[in-house]
Amino acid sequence: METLQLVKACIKNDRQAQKVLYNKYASIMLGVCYRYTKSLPDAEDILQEGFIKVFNHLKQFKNKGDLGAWIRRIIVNTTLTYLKKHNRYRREMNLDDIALHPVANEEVEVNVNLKDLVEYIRKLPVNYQTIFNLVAIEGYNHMEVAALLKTNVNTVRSQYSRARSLLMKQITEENNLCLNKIN
Amino acid sequence: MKNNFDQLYNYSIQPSEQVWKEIEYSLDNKKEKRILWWWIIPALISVISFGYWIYNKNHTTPKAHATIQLINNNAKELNKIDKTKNLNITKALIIQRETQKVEINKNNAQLNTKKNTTIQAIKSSSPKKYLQTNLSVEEYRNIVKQEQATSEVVANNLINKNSNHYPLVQITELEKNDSNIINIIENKTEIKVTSKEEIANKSLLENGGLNDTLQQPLMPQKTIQKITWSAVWGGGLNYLSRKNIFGEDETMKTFNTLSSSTTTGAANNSNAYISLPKTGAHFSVGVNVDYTISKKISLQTGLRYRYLENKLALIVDTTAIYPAYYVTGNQIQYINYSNQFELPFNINYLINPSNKIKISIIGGVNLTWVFKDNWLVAYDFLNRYQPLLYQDKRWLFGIHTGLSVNYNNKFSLSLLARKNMTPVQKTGAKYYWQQLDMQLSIPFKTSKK
Repeated sequence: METLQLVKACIKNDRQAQKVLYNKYASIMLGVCYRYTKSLPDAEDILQEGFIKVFNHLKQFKNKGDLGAWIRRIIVNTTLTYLKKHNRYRREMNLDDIALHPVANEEVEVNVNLKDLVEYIRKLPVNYQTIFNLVAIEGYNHMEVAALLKTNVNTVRSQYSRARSLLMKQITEENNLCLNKIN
Repeated sequence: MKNNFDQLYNYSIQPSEQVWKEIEYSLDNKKEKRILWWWIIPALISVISFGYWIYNKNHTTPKAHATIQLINNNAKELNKIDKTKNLNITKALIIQRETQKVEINKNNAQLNTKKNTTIQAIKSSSPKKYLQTNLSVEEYRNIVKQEQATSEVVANNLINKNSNHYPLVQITELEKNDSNIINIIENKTEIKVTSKEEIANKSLLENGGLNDTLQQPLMPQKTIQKITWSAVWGGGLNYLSRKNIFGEDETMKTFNTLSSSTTTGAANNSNAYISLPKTGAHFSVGVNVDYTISKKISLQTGLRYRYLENKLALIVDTTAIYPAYYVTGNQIQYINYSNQFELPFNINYLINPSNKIKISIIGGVNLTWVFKDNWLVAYDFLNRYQPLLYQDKRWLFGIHTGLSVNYNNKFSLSLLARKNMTPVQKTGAKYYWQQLDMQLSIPFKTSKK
């Protein structure tokens, strides 16, 4: 079924079509949610909420651009809302430009598999995790992230840099630990 | 490392089956929310008041019917009176009096004196004099309490016991119950008798206070013409609806300008959005002026200050970026604070003018001068807002309808459904207020005309 037909069927509340659409995008979108959260149940909650929004507002998708990108954007926005709604994330969502961690600009080449990398990202403080995901993975520039999170560009820039640095540090430490164990 | 990040874009995890089940459940239970609640309450009140009116109309006691009626001096009204019915009523009263042997306050000499004065007043003077000089409301109520046969007591206070004519005082247009009489006595200062009527009444009264044709004593027509000033406090709910959901408004133009100048990368702007109407609240304070032109109809105007707050959400194209504004889910949140002066022009139709609790139907138009209006947009997830547009001062025109309940002329409570006919913004998309308004008004000055 083509995307347009699928969308039209979903708008008509065709449950079968909705399930097809869900199956097509659910796993990638859960991957998105998972990167922003600290637990899988939270990610699944966001996925559920996000897809309900997708189905309820699908008629606004006028076949302009990629449906996946459209759904992704809803999922990202739903995720951000979720993070801000729930205290356990909100408490850490400090976007003030306070130098909690030193900034390191050096690029370190490390070998790490995808799954581990996701887990390293998830171990970052929520504000770093969010900004890192938005900039490094979703591809937003600093200005766009600053607008999304309503903070200034310099804060985003510095927090992103610190997030990167902290991530590198974690990965390096973990690698060294593994190397020591082998030796 | 960068390659890893790129791969992360498509990182996927298989969700559990439960997630789809929950989504399916939510979609199955999705209900269309029709915002009709602001019509439900006025409709409910209309039905109840209509039912109450019908009930009162059909359940007036025969005794009350038989004893108390006020005749309108209008000749046409006199002709309308059912003579046969009056005869039957008279007979019924004779039988009643004879069988029950109702004797009125024999033990109360003071009261008897009052009654005699009343009788004299009717026989020798005008009913106006009677109403102004005799039984006070309190005294009347005492009589009612003592006798437990209110209508007969009142009737017997109005006629000579030795008269060959029986106690029939007719009140046209009004239901014949006790509260009518209370009302007449309470409003005795409002009774107006023109010289022509006085002559006519005098002529009738000289014949024993009776109308020869009908064998009834006559009372003057009660005419009420007064101006009442009231303080008004109100509050209620707003609902901002948008007729042209695909039109572009100034707000969105601002968004588009800002977003197109900064959007890059993954985001682009297609301007696709619709509005989600949202509710808010308002309060008002002011003055009402009521001009009573007849028993049932009054005109009303006034001046009110209204402060209004309303939220509005726009669903935006989620592939677009709105740099200065915070997108919650796929919505941008606005809030509107508005300061207004309102001039209402109402016609009130009184359904039951004789009751203590009077119910009126209100209909009218209103002119609103919006003198300070601020639109804000949310800029962060804490729902903090920043100014967006500052609207021009402008006039709004609206219509309204509703019900008013007046308790014993002491205060009245009104419920109004209002709709603006002019959009709340001068340019761009058309938003219209729909409001449900509850108002409390307390009269502080009444002048008679």
